[in-house]
Amino acid sequence: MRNIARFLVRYHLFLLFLLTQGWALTAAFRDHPYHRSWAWNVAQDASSSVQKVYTNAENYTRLRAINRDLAKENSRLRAQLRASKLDTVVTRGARRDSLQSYTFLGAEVINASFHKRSNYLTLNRGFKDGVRPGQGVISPRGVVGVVHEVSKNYATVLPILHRRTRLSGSMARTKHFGSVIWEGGNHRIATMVDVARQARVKKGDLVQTDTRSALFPSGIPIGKVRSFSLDPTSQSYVLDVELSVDFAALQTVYIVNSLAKKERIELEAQAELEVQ
Amino acid sequence: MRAVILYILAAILAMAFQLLLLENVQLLGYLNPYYYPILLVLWPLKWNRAVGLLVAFALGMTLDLFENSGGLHASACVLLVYLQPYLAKSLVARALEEGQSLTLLALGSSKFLTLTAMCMFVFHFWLFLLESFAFNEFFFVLFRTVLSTAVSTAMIYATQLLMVTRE
Repeated sequence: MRNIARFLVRYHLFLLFLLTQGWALTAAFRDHPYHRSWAWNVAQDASSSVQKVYTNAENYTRLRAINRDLAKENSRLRAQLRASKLDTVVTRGARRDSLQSYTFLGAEVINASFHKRSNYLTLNRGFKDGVRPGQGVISPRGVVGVVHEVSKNYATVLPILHRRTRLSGSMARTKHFGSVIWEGGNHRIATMVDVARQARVKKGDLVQTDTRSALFPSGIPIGKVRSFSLDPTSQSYVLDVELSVDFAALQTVYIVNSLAKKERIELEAQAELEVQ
Repeated sequence: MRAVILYILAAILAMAFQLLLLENVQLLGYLNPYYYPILLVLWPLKWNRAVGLLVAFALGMTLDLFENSGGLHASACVLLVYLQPYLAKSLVARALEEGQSLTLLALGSSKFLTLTAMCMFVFHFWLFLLESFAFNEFFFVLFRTVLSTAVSTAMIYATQLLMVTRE
């Protein structure tokens, strides 16, 4: 007993070091570190409101660029409106329920990083606005990422610039699909892997979301092909994709709520079960 | 007592500087300078080291909250404060016994710069290594460490210089 006490006294510094270090590392590498704990919510809300003050000030300096983006999007939406009206006429009756499969919630980015290996965004929308983990996030320019954690008033997003993000994308021209990941470094360039050899990739090809992902509507731009090479082992293309979204200047985003997502995932799971 | 109050004031100032200003600055596109570890570099050798570990943990966790990094900063801070006396000892032979103050005024420019650079290197290297957590990115980690160490050390030296000229 006395020996143990002596040991504790003698090495108390080292033991305390191990304890704090262990705690820190566990916190760092747990998958969902503070999920749903009220302490996390309170702390997150507090740090987010500090950031909000800062972002509000900063936004004034970027109003011109924001306006330009929004105006561009308006014109694009107006064009789509005409197209979707035609669509409604054709499909009325038969598929009326499935006409609206997504709703969009506007949000502002109040904190963002892009220089780390794994980056996050914080949005000023939370649980009480209907945001849930796993929803897609897009901006007027293209795909941003996926909602990660949600507190009452705020939500964090795993953007494309995160180690764990893997989005399915397809080539707009040839419809071949692949996965978009980010390997760190330049925040403007992502990598698209597993694109079939048959896709005759060209420089400048548009990469966009495809229907395999239940998170996003199809056809939202992800980026443009900057260069490409053929992976000799897997015989598939590896593409350098210049991202449409500049994460260094990101302000307005939309959180995508996919109305049919649950139904679709259930159906696909069921189909898989039946095969087995 | 006076030293403790001064330390707390310095901590509030340094953290405010870090969180309100530096968190929003990106040098050369992706370099985020860290200033707040100066609080740990300057942790007086006379003071209780166990308290130092807890303070380091708390400061790190605060940063982690702002950066969404779980516990990466806490880990790097704890490591820094644990190694700091050994680094100081390697520079000033009898630093530990005499409880030498580690400020710029007490150490002189060259020793202060060396100590700060060593501490910041440890801090950044550990932080970036954990963050990347992949050995194939080792040289990129090293590159970022060296750059960040240089910038942080310069910043810390500049603020210390201001204080010296005041006194």
